[in-house]
Amino acid sequence: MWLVVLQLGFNKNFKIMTTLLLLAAGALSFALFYKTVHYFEKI
Amino acid sequence: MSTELFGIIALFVVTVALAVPFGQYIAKVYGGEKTLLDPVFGLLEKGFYRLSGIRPNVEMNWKQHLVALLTINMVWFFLGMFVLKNQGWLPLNPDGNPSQSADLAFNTTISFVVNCNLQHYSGESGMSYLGQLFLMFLQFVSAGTGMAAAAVVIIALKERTTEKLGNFYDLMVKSCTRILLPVSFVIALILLANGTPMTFDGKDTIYSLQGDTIRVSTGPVAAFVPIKHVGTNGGGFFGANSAHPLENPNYATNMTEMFAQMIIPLAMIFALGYYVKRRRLAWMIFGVMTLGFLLLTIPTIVTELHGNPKIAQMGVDMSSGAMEGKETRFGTTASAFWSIATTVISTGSINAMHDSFMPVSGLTQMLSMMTNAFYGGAGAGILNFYIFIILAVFISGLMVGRTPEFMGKKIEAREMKIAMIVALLHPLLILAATALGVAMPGQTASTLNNPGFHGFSEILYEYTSSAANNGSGFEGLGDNTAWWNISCSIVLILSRFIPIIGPVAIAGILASKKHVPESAGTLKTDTGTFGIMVFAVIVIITALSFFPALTLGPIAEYFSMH
Repeated sequence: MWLVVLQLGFNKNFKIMTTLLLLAAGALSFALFYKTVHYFEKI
Repeated sequence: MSTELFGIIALFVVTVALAVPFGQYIAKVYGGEKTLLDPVFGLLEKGFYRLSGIRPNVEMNWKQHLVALLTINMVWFFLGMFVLKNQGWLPLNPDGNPSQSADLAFNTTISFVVNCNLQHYSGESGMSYLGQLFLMFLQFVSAGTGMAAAAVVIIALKERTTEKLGNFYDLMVKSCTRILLPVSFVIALILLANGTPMTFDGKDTIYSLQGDTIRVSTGPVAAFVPIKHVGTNGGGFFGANSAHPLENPNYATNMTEMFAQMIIPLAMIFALGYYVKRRRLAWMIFGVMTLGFLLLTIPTIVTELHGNPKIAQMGVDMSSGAMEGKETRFGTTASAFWSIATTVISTGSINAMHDSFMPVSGLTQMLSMMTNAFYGGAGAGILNFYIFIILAVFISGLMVGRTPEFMGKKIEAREMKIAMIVALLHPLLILAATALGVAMPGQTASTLNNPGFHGFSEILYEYTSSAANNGSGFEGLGDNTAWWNISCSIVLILSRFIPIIGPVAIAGILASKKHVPESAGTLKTDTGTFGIMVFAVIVIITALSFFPALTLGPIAEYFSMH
């Protein structure tokens, strides 16, 4: 049930939801790179 | 024909001749020596640093450099997303171009932040002037980022034992203001004198001889195009890039733009030699890179000059070479030379449609990006080559039974692990993304312009261009879809920052090690023999990684034509 509600909500605000998701993906990528710096420090 | 050949040979010789003193100048800039431009930009920089709280004199270790680099790039990413998602209502939009969709803005922003400039839009209809100006800003700072990272490696090579490797912001700003901006300014004047527009008035109206009214897109093109080449970015103001008559009006501007894209990568090699006071090492690097460049360029020019056998069978004269997809004002030779220069150097600008080149040329264009080590992008070329030097030093050490050393520092397991991760990431990203693209025909098949081998080449080229941060395209691909925008963005961002983090980390780790004085047993790294070793490492890694994929694309296409 909650999945359907979530999907309906996503479809209703598709543009803003996609933008937010992609912004989050960008931020996550940079988080991964910060982790990579620390990983290379300890490798 | 011989005039065309003379043109490109003269261009290459002049570029190399100027790259040597320019490299000396770059070494002075990174060495903190005074330059003529200090009075102009010094005050401006002081104000900017005071406002932002940055202390450019505080030295950083390699981790602080990378954290600063990543943080400023993340800020540009968010800023870019805001501008491109809202350009429709923001100022400087006289043509009324719409805001970009989320996935296209994501792709465009990442593409320009990472110095790739893969464009899934057409500038005429998909970008406002504000958007173009912001992208121009990104072209400066992304090139500055790569050059600053290369400068950190160069500084680390010189230092005996230290953790302090300069200040990232200082190196990046100086790369922009002392190196990229003055060269771009001169190129802009040449373009302006040849008719490239510089205006904010929106579309121009012209009347054809038939009496038709034609609306022609213009804009601040003369400001945009120089940094596209000088920073080895490659993103065009117009959809047709440097094949567009307003972006590259004539043969003289074509030569100027070719010079502009080659000068910084070449000068960075000599800057390394001057900075670390090892000019023989710089000439060794230049020799290896030039050998690779020529081995890719010569077959391309020869193939294109021979023309297309399938079209020749139809009775079409091929004495001018394979002219499909090429501009008559540039000709076959200059277009073929540009296609390799732009893929070797990671600019990615085009003055002819790579999709129309012969299969052998498609192969060499892709190989240029797959090796990703001959000249390379502004700063990125040095970083990529540094990884291959580390690998070659290690392998040479194993072969002669000595502890591998480079510039007085021992190469140990830690550095080798990082070098291998970086070296293998490039083929992994290209091949895995291509395999996914082929395995999902629902997402990709309808976007291909050609079936069969050439269609496979279109997919392989797109991901190779993304992973090499090149940005050129086999233009047959209909790439403005959610699949292409997002999958290419993932490849783009991973293939930019990890290959920067790796070399800077290795250089920083090596710089902090105890310096070992050279002895009779030390492996000489500035000799022709070591150069051949580095070249062999590059060729073997590229061949082993990519030969099967190339067989399915351009090689199969070549045999299907003969």
